[in-house]
Amino acid sequence: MSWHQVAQADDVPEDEGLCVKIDGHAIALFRVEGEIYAIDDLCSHAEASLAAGFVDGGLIECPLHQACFDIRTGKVMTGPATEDVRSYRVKIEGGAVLVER
Amino acid sequence: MARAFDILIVGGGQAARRAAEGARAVAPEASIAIVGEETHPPYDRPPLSKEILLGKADASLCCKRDAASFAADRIELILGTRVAALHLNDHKIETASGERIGYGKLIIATGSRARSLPAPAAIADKVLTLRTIDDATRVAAHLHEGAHIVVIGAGFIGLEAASAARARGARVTVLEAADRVLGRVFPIEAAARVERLHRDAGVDLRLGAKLDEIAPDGGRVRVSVGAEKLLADLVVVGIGIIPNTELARAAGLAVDDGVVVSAEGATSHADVFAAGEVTRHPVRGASAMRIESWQVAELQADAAGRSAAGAPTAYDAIPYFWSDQYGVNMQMFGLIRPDGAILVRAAGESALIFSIGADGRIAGAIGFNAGADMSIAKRMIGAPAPVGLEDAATPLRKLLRAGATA
Ligand code: FES
Repeated sequence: MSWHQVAQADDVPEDEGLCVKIDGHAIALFRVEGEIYAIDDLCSHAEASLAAGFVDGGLIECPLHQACFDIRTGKVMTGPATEDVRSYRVKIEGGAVLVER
Repeated sequence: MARAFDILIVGGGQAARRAAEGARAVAPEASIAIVGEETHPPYDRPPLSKEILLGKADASLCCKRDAASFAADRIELILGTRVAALHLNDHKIETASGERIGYGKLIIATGSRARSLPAPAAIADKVLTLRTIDDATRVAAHLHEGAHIVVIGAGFIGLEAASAARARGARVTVLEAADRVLGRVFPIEAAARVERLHRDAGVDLRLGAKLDEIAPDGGRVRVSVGAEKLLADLVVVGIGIIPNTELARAAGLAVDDGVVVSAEGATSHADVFAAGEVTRHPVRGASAMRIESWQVAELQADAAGRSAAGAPTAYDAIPYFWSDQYGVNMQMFGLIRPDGAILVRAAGESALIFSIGADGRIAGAIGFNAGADMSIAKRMIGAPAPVGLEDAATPLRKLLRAGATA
């Protein structure tokens, strides 16, 4: 595991996700109450990008079938997804977002 | 010795699983059992007409839990067992083999069965409905390049089967007796989009098609429609489902299309609850409805399970449904009001179709590849339709905010 710089903190919007890649692996960045969080972009149910979903406070709703995940932990809150998505450690250095993977 | 459980669930599908899980969540000590007719542990049906037919996954995708996981949660599975009668006054059920099983609370989660078409025995294995894992596995085996699949009925199951069959290279003819697809669910504006989708994908979609006969024809199936004879390798019958209300009715429970329940899932009889799509339950913005959907099997059943276990829990979700065909994602929230107006907000491949009630409020929304806008549309349901809703150039989020502050 190592830290990867994936974006500038200012690029992560307030009410939408931002999809970034680490070695081709898609990760969704979200901002919740000022903090930036990173989870796998691919929904655990089918082929959807969670970064393209709807952000409601600390939750992200999948754009395809409305499964809902906790942005801070990746935990699935409602189906049809049944598995959590992975969440990653994030740190901000000099305005840049670093994700550990 | 006679068996008895604190909570006994009749029916072995997704609703049964969810009712058991709901009950377990609030009653850690209760003894819980599921009596199911199929020999499979409870499974979810959405993948049957999608991933399984596409050959992308096997049946395990439907099984959210295996037998061991039920055992670990002390939910006993009594499978391959048909229930013959409910003896409500004795707090017992009776199985087809004559065993009586006692209960403290009973949950009826008998679901529905596919409506079938009579076919001669010689072709019974080629005229299939699509309801169970076994059905889906059999249908999937027929979907390949060069095969001709005739789908009877343009409801969601039939259309998803058509979509999967095309994806696998089969030639597909869809026969629908009505003059449009999805007649029971979608307004014409949405149905027309679905029709276009299928025709663009090469489906021979025939509306107003009156089926005359299904007969064997040299190892294949001859489907007669008027003067025309179609030769099919497989006929998929998707002409609706019938709620399994017979046990409830025979036991004297109130049945009106579905088993009538309160928001908490309680039936007309004390100690008896009902869960899932067999129920006719209160629906926001309507009186009561029986709804065939994953959501009802998942969430109404969870509420009924909790209620049965002593923690009254109301189910009050906005009705939700999804389908994926030819890679196009369709979702629906709320209700379509036949007496209201339809408003179309379209931009290229994506569209939102709103049903506006006579009171000017948004009653429902259907999205085609609408993405996150679907989540926004859900939050607009029940609110007055904002000015400019049909203008796709105005972000929906902006209209939602305007509505919230108005
Ligand atoms: S793909 Fe995310 S809920 Fe289905």
